[in-house]
Amino acid sequence: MPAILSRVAPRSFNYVGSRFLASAARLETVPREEIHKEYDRKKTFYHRDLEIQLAGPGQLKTKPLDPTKLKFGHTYADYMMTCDWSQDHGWHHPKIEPIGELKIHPGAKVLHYASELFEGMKAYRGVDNKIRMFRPEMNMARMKRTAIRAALPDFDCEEMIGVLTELLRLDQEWVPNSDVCSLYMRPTLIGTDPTLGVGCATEAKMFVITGPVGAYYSTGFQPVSLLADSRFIRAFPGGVGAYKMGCNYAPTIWVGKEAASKNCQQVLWLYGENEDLTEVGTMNIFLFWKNEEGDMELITPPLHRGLILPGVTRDSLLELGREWGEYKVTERTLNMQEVKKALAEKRLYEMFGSGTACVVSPVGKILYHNKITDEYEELHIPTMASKYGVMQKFYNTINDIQYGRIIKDGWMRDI
Amino acid sequence: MQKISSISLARFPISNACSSTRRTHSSFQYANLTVEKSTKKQRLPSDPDKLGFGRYFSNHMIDIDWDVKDGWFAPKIRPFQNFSIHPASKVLHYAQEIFEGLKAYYGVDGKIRVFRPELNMERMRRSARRATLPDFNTREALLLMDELIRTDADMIPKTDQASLYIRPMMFATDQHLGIGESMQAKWACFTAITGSYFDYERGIRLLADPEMVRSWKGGVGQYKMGCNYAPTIFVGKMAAMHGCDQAMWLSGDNRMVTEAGAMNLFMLWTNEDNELELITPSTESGLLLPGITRQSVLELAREWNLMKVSEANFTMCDLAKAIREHRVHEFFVSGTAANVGPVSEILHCDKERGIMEKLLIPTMNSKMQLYKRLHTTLSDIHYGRIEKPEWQRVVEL
Repeated sequence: MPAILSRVAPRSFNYVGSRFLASAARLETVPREEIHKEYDRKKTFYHRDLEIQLAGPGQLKTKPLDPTKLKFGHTYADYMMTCDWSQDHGWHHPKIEPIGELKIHPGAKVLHYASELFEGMKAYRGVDNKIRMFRPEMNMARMKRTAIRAALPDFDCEEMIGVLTELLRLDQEWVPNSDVCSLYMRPTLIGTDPTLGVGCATEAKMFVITGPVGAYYSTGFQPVSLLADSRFIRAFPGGVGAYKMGCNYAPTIWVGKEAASKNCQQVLWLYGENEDLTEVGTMNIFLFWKNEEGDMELITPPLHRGLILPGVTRDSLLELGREWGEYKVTERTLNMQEVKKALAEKRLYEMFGSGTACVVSPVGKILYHNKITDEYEELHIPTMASKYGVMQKFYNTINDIQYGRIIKDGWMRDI
Repeated sequence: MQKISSISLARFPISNACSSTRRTHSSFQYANLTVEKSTKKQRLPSDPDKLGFGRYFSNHMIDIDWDVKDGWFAPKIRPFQNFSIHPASKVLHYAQEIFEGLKAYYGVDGKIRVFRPELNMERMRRSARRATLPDFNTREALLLMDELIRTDADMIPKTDQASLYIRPMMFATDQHLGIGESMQAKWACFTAITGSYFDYERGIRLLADPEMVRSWKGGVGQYKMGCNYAPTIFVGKMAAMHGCDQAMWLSGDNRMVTEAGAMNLFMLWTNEDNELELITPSTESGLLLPGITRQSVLELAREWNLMKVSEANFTMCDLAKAIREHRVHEFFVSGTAANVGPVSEILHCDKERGIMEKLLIPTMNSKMQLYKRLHTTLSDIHYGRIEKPEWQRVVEL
């Protein structure tokens, strides 16, 4: 058996500085010593229990010739990780096996009550040919928080990252050799017990599938048009908008179609009487402007109301922006009237979404439904014409970090 | 053959661009059904009290595939068994799933009756549109469900303490991770032998916490989409920690009362104008599910004409005030699984006053016993003790 396939004991991940735990900690992290004190499968699965079932020669798929042309979520690598959980026995051994269909009971909670959550993260092949994951501990911390809210079982971040590392080792040839492509990773946790009562799942399954994705911007930045209509909402106080639960996505598909019918690619999600900006499509939103006091300011809506997914890219842009110190960086609530006013006064320079798929996505136009007049207003956002290049600098820097051209202490994990 | 009452689809804004015409068939067809009989038999506990809710599944299920190119495939009734689902299927990630819940009953005259199934199928079609899943024909779905019930008819306990719970469902099986309309879907239906849902003797206790919200204006609270349920599981756990059976859902800044658990709710009270009134929150807000039992309770109460019957919104504040002034006589929930169930207590987290207030409701000691009369009447219709043909679809054996 080749060395990479042998079971590897979990290494110590000392190089994850406490700074990261701190930034992940808006997010109640459990002190890790406590988790590692004892072997307890009620609390987590273990990297050291990993069982690997190798694919037969017939099961390996041919890799795409030109990875830059790959569309998101259409091609999957050879292997997947699975791990079952039950209330009585805790976590079973994690397994890596050839990707295949899951056997799911027709009464499983995931199929009826959306007992499901997921994460989206990426592995990159750097210019030095090393494979790296971008801030995986942030995704795993969010996944744990989501699991608690979804009443699905908890697990340990580092054990999960250990297993993900093994999965990447097995599928390493699927990580494209290109600095515009990457391997998308989709950890998923579903409730599988077959009882129809709406209640806590007593059985669950964790699984991870991966797939190569091509260039998001093959012909340069493409500004998007947004439909902003406060008659549709994504999240509300007392709901679960801050968690990556499947239930946040199903209701958006119809609204997305509504947007498409008005020639908009994404929805700008507004909330409340004042029409506060919250998210764009499935991304966080950033705005670069000169505020009313005349300061140059990067602004994004805050997390405290629970209406916004705490994005890993969002957190990274905020940290970089603050580190650079070139302008004011603010997390505060922002509404459509402020946006319209700033546009009219030519103080709004850039608006962009941020997310794992694209890093940044420039906004070119907002089709705004004015609830008072019941008419649509077209707002042009001059992002592409901005002379400040704020979005561009974020894009370049994050890309340089992801492909190993510059080292950002503790952000990338080598495989 | 039962007459299918025509129910107009609820109005909601769907632009023309969204109404798709690409399907080759507008619905699956009963005429194309194939049946594969199961050789295995599910074993049931002999005591109906031990059945619980949705634990014992019967031997067969309906399974129909759809894809955007070919439309609906031929329906199958096959042995009840696991689905094989690709790990990238949209249902597992983005909750593209809808369902229904209805029941068949073994009547005192030996006939099997399904309670108002056409209403469930119409609601399922409305949910399908909102969830961007394919449409189907109500009549064809009803014929298929009749056939499924017939196939497993011998499993329905011959008692009025149990029933056959029917669970039609539809979900997106498209294997692409992009968030968008699914190119493939599955329509399925299975049944479960079911006992009683609640202990009705004790009354139901509800937890009303304005910080736990089920639905909001602009959302999908009025559709039976899976996504409405996942966030409630944790809240149900919190309710249990407070010794309550269910959460009572409040919505909006004014804390409008909407639903309890996964059920609609009713209040019999003396209102501010000193009239006796049966009131249930209006479905116009789009915040609550238009329940079939809810509709039936309203229709019965209007028919009996014993009091004013209203569909109107009321707030937690109105409710708490009325309970304190002893104006609330009965408070009860309605749903397919629960029928009608009395509420004895609401534990209200009053954030303004910073207290947990226990509001006791004398439902079970009320003079009128309206909830009991409704429960009995509905149950009599279910089990055929009362004939109400327009509410009973008889499955010919």
